[in-house]
Amino acid sequence: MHILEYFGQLFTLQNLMWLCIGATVGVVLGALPGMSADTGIGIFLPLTFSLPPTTALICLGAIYVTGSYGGNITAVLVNTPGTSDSLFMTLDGYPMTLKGEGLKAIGVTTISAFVGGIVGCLALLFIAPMLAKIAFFFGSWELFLTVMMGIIIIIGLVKERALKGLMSAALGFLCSLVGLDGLTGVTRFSFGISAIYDELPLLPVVLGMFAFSQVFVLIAENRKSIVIEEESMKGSVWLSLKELKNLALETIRGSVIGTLIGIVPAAGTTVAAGLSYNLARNSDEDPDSFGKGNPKGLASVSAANNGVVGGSLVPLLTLGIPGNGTSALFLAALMIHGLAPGTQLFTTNGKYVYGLIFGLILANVFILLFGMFGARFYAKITKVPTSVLIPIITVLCILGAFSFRCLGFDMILVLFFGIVGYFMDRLGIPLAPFVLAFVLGKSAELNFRRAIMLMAGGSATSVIFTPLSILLIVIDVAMLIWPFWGSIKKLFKKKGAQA
Amino acid sequence: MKKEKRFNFNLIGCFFIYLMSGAFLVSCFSIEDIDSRTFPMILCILCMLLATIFLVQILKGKYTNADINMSGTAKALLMAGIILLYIVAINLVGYYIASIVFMPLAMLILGQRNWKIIVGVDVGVILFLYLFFGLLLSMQMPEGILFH
Repeated sequence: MHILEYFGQLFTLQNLMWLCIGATVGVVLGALPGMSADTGIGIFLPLTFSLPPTTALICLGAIYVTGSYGGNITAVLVNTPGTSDSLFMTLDGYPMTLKGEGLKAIGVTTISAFVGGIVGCLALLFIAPMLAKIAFFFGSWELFLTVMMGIIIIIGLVKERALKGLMSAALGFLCSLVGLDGLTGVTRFSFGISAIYDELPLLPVVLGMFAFSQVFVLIAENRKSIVIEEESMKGSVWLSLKELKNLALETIRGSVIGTLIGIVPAAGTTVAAGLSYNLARNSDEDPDSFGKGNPKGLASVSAANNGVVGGSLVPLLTLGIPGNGTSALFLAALMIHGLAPGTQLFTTNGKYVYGLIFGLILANVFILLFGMFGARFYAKITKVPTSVLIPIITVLCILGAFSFRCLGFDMILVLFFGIVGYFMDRLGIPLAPFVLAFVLGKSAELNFRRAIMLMAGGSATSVIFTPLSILLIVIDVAMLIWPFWGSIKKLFKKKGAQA
Repeated sequence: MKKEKRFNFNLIGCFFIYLMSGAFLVSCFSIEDIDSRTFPMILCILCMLLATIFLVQILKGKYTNADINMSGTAKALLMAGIILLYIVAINLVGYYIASIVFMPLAMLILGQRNWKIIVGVDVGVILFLYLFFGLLLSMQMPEGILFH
């Protein structure tokens, strides 16, 4: 059967209906604090048992794709990332909204998410088996170096407030170590609280630091609405050709980074978005404008975010290795429908796999339609009086924090981190390094210690000096130096002039 | 005339970092496994080192109150207190009932005086939460001990 015939089989009423249901559920869940694509796939998995495999995979794929995008809207408009994956959107997206460019911000995030998603799907469609081999080369040391990319990004983020940023990151790193040690099984830093015996849960911390702290900031600043100016939302969501051209490089680069990082098991969206953002910032003529509402920053992050979706399915479909939590749920879905992952999946069960991939492409088209035509409607959120918006955000965040583990303690946790986040914000201590270090800290420690054990057990050189590891070390060092390259060059020039 | 010395708010941040890293460091000593405690211990010491550099720079006058805006903090903390009561209420009477009471109260405190908006938003949001999360997604909602 030709690949295009698989595309044709997608257009049945049943497939399209479930695609729309999945896509709508994904966007709504992605936008709601505490909900994510995982939640949607988890809930819809039993509902798809009775459906034909292609339809079931299309529905679940649509939830995955659009769930990843849904959080962008709330992150951009109200600084409330629906999921931790969207936290990078707040860096430039929310400042754009504050400048009255909320509509444009939705346009930028939608188009770049669409491009990122399509690039990921095309990689899945044409070069999946070849790309899947990359995943085999990643041992503990390589994974540590990959996670370190995310950590190094922090240094670039806090260049101007280096000391405060590093303190914030160190604190985030410490908090990430709360709970069970992944290697020895020893519980650390639970301080006698049984609810954090295994870990300090990610979602209440992220919701507290970003959403709740912002609620307190809005109250303290006595703002009547997020965007105050009357004329602020009069722009267009559609980008001009010139604007699209300006964003093209960041979008395409972000898409490729997202796809490649998605393939690496456990590297995740945070590393992809951070890496893409860092590259966009460091290669820009005006790096200081990043974090203050630069559309290029938003485009680079959105594209990487959605590129991860396609990328994470590459090792899953070809090797059976899930790259993240959501793709692990996907693995369950495949197996429930009697499909064993592997390269033969593309030959013997091609109609299901290609149906899924084309379904993912259509889900990305849905994102485009949903974002571009609904933008004016969503943008109205920013005009809602804070006296109405704050109670709504509060009840949703509290529910989101609870739903993560169904523990009442997590509601207290979200409030605690909200207050901590508020004071950090007021004292000029950046929040992003804390959250970034918190998200990546545990993985960095675990992989580092595993690599040390491997080195102790055998030859250290065979672990450290593999071609991939050398490449990653070079990238890490380059990323470390890059933000300060201008200052270093100036210093050398000055010394040269003095000599 | 003697110039009045103002409290430097940066000290709060510095104290907080000391407090957190100190608590973690003390806790490190109770971890028996050396592999499990070495990495966090190094991190705690690094954290304290950064806080000390920060303290020195505050004392040298590099960090002042110029970039810090603490106005409105009392109001924000009042809201935090109300949210805490809301969480306590959730644990007592459950999510729906606590939210029905919390939302109009919060709206009133935040300055909303239009009763149509208050009632409309309250009923609308609770209805949405019930239909979407409770019925459609069959999600477990926080139940209060009084009605459990």
